[in-house]
Amino acid sequence: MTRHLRLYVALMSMNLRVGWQFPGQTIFRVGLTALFEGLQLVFLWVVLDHFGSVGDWTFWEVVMLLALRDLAHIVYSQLFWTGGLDTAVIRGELDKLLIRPVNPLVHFLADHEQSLARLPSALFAIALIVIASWQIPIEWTLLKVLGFAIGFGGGVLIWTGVQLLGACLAFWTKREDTLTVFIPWAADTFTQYPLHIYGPVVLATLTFVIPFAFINFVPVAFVLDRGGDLLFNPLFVFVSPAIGAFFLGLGGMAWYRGLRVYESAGT
Amino acid sequence: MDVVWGFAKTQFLRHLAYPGDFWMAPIARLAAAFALIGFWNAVYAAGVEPGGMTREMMLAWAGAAIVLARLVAVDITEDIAERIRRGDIVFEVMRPTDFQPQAFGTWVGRLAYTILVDSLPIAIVIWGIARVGGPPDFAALLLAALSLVLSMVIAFLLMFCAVLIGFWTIQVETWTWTLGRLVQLSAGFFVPLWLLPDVMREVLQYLPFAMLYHAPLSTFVGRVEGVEALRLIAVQAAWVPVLFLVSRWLMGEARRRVLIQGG
Repeated sequence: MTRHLRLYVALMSMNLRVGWQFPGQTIFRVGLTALFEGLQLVFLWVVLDHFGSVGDWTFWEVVMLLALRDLAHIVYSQLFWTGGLDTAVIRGELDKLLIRPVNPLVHFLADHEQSLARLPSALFAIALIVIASWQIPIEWTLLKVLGFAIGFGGGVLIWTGVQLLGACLAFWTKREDTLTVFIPWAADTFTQYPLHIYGPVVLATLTFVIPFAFINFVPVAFVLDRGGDLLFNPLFVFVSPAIGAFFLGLGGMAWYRGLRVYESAGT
Repeated sequence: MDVVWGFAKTQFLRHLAYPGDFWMAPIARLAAAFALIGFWNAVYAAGVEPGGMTREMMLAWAGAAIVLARLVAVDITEDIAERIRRGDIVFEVMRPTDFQPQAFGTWVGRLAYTILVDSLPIAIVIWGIARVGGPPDFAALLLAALSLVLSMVIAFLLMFCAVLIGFWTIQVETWTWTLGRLVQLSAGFFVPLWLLPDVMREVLQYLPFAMLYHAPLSTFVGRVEGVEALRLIAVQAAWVPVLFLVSRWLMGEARRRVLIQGG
């Protein structure tokens, strides 16, 4: 376990240095990221200024939802990004993971592009959560802090598990752009706003089938005392890590089954 | 023309080789369409119609934006970026055929695949089954179709220029990412420019990014009609030669750079 953790950190640090090969562009991207994040907020403000609220949620409540979703996505991208498996399968590049003396799944999850540009996004998201909770305002209790933190951690695990599960389909279908790009993109579109506005079918699907509701909607509804918008008691936010672990387990199973059908490029 | 056709055909057949993607793509896109339409339905419950956009117009906008999103997404980056990094892009540039028609043909082939597996099925569901609103009359449909063709050409030229910058910076993703975010935020994909304050709209609506969504969608939903629609299409048409000349200039400079330095 300690060895894997050490390797994980070593691979991440190596990829950070690779990303820093182009320092000018990295700094440019950091600046632009901050600008775009700000613009996104302006557009949200424009919409909600016209309409007042969405599903009875105010501007700052939606901001909190967005910020938590973004933060979970940033952490997932930085620690466990699962993209690129289809290209590796098609080109036979997975061979290199199989011949190294490291667990191939650990290697795959650790060895990916790292970008410093994610840092300002993460700070921006945290700042938004703080400002939003002050603007709403939220009366923080120990239970709410715990629920929010556990919900966030669970959200990262859920994101990773679902993405890994989708990525592993590449072992059978070879190309899996749809599952790893479009389904998260669609889920992304849904999770920008309180899920109850889409009606009970979508809410149930994104809660019980692809549990993206647990990434931001459930934890934020919990701290905002908006349990009425959920399909169950908001205390279920504490189950979030277990759901994440379940999906990670499914992803891991799919990975090992997939390796059995993987055909090496033979090069 | 033969070059474009040859590359287009190869790409089309290459994509058909992955049936899993064939079936999943439209389902995922439909989910996104459902999300956008659901969102606008929810906010319009407030009973206001800002920026001259009625609820029907907005739902038509959301549906059409989802269909349009894949048509103006020019995915030529992946192969070219890697080849620029490795340096073997020089073999593409040295071919007796121009590199730009090669890239255009590659994109047209992918586009044909996209229309078949993605845009067409989604359009059938959105307008045929879900009965989301469409253009107010046949003239608006024709103008929107013309505007759509121009927006796709502009999308290709913008992306091609962004990719060409990689010949100087090696890293292509920074420029394509920047372009993607600019389009996402300022082209009117999610929030129509009609909802923005006047000053912001006046600045954004004549930029090339707005030509990708704002122009065709405004025509399609009937937010602009008659002379106003023609004026918007004329602005689009004016961007095509400008961007084409920029791309040719960049291509010439990139070619000289690659051939002198040997990749």
